[in-house]
Order: sequence, then structure tokens, then C-alpha cells
Amino acid sequence: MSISTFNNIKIMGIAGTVPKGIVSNLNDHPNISQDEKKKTIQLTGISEYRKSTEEVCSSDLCQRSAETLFSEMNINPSTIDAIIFVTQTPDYRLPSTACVLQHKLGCNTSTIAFDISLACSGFIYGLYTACSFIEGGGIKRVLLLCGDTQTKLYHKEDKNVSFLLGDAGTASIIDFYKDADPLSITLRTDGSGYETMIIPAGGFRTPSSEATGKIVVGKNGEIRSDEHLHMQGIEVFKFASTTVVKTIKEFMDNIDITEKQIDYLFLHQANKFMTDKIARKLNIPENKVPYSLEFFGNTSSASIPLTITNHLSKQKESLSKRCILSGFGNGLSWGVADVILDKIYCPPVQEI
Amino acid sequence: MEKKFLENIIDIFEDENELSLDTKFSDLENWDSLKKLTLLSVVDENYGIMINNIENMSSFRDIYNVIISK
Repeated sequence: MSISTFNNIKIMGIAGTVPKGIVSNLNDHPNISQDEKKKTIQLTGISEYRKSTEEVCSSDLCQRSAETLFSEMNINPSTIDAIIFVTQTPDYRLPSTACVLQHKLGCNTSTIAFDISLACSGFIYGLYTACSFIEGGGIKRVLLLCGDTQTKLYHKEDKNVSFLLGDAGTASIIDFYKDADPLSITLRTDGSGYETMIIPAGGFRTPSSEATGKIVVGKNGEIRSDEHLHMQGIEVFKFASTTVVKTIKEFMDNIDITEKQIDYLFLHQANKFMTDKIARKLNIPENKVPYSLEFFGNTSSASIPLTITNHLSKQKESLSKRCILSGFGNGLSWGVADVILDKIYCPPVQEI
Repeated sequence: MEKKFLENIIDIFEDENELSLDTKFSDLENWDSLKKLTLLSVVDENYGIMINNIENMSSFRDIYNVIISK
């Protein structure tokens, strides 16, 4: 197993922002029976999630998160050496939204800025990229932004996804920090599963056309066109509960850490049925597995940082915590990290 | 073995009448993606087997046969 370990890197702060608009899984979805809604909420653990208005993009949510960190942590934007924006809902097809954000955030033109197109594994990939950049020596501070407005990717009546996916945007400050605790990461890909979660049309393989925009109703309550998100829930479940669990186990064995030494397991917030199962298979008790999905749903690449900041902002003291993080999602793409969160700055989740 | 498996599925499908190994999925009142997920999960946790092709199976016996063949 290939694992990279970084020794002089620290996550200094994480902030999260969500839209004000709430979708209540029990009170909304008028075409679905109350009984079915209740059963779904019981299984997924998701009572509600946030939905942005047409004007609000993922970059706006991330920008607010970054500005919160700048002002509360007294960070001058000119000290940001790199901006990495992990998103699958960028502002434009081109240019990279990170370039737009470099200007909006008032960072120098010496800043490196680019987007990474990944979803639920994105925070781990972004973290690895940030660490590698800093390890190179020329870069001391990375602003890692993770955000998506997934509610714009699906038909709002598609039963497969409309109970799960919400909008959020986060910002993390990752610094060169001499003699910090080691930070280890492993990343994985299995492109044979690229169709498990896919928007089939609207790219360059199958450009948008009248036919791809046609809404089709499927036998399992799917309501979608080929330009909407298609998700094979059962396949995602199999992937998460076998392959992802196996990678986390191997990773923990390799870095020689037991479940007892872990303070927190921060999992991508797919749904509670899935995360509970992963935690159970790893023998990690429920009280070590914080959740943000109850009120924010599955928030793609934002879900791990959002869960961390939402959880730690409510703690009285910011003590040193050893955490295993794991993100997994479309690609298929997944990753695991071992991180010590020590005196990390986590403000309460903001709304716009 | 058979009895235990039957108990497992009765737990999941408590709102159904009279279940047996030969009950067809298509005869169930509630055979939706949530039930499929729960069934896969219970089989995985109790027998360590992830059923791969449930879409091509028609009754609980198909699943049971996979379990006893391992």
C-alpha cells in the first residue's frame, strides 16, 4: 500500500458556510407519502439539508468561509501561496473558478490557483495536494476550498438523490509548521465504476442536446434527464462497505494505529446507514464518529471539513485529537488520512 | 442455517405476511431500494458476503444459495 507521510504540515483552521434555504425531508417532497419519507429519514439519518438559490454558487459559499478564516484568524490574503478549489459545480466551464477566487479574495498574483474535479473524496485529495506543494518548499500556506451546490445537479423530485444531497462550501488553511505531528494519506481510484455516479451528458463525450435534456421517469422513482445526476445507490453502498472499509483497515495497519488510539473518525457523510456500517466494521464506537448529515445531508467534498468544523466549534476546548478521515465517491475515487487536529480554529457554520 | 437466515429476513420484512425462502421479491408489498440495501447489509454483516447481482435474483432462496455455497 502506498502511503505518503508529511512531517511539517498543520491544518490551522476550517470554516464552513451553507445557504439559508432549508429542504425538510419530512415536510417537503409533496409527491411522496409520509410513511415513505419517514422510512427514508430513518435509514439515511438526514432530516434536512440546505439548498442554494439560483444566484449562489459553490464558490460564494467557499469565499465566505475563506473570508471568515481571514478575519477571525487575522490572516492577510497576501500570505496565501496557493488556492486549491475542489468542486464539480464550478462557476464556469472555463476558466478555473480558483482563478476567479484569487482575485475576489484579494490574494497576490504570485498565488497558484486551480480547480480539482472530484466530489466526496475531494477533501482528502485536496489535502494531499496541499501537503505535496508545501513539502516542495516554495509554498508555506495553502487555502483549500471544498464546495458543491449539488442540489443544482439533480431533478428535485428524483427519489434516488433528493433526500440526500445538499449544498455547502468550506475553507481550510494548511500551513508549513516546523515539527508538526506527522500527517499520512493514501489515495485510490477505480475508474471501472465511473458510471456508478455520473451525469452522462453535457460534457464533450455526449454534448447537451434536445434528447439529453428530456426528463425520463424510471421504475425506481428516478426522475431525471441525461443531464442530471444518475446514482446507483446499491453499487455505492457495496463500494463503501467493502472496498473503502478494506482500504481504511489496511491503512491503519500500515501506519500501526489501532481503533483505541483514534479520537475521531470523520467519514464522508454519505448517509447514516452507510457511515454506521463503516464504523461498525472498523470497531469504532458511535461516540467517536461525529455527524453533520442530520441537518446538512451529504455535502460532497465539503462533508468532511464541514463535519470537523461543525463538531469542533461546539467543543469548549481545542485539545489535540488524532483523527482518521475518509472520503469516497464518484470516480470511483477514495482516500484515507491520519491527521492530528491540534488547536485548530473552527468557527460556527455560517449562512448566506 | 436455514432457520437463522429466515429469522434475518423476517426482521427486515416485518411488515410482510408469511415469508419463506421461496417468497419472490416481486410478491413483497415493499420491495424497494431501501429494503434491498438493508437486505444486502444484513447478509454482509451476518455471513461476511456481499451479494453482487441482486438485480438478477428473484427470491430469498437465490441469496441463501450464495450463502451456503461459500
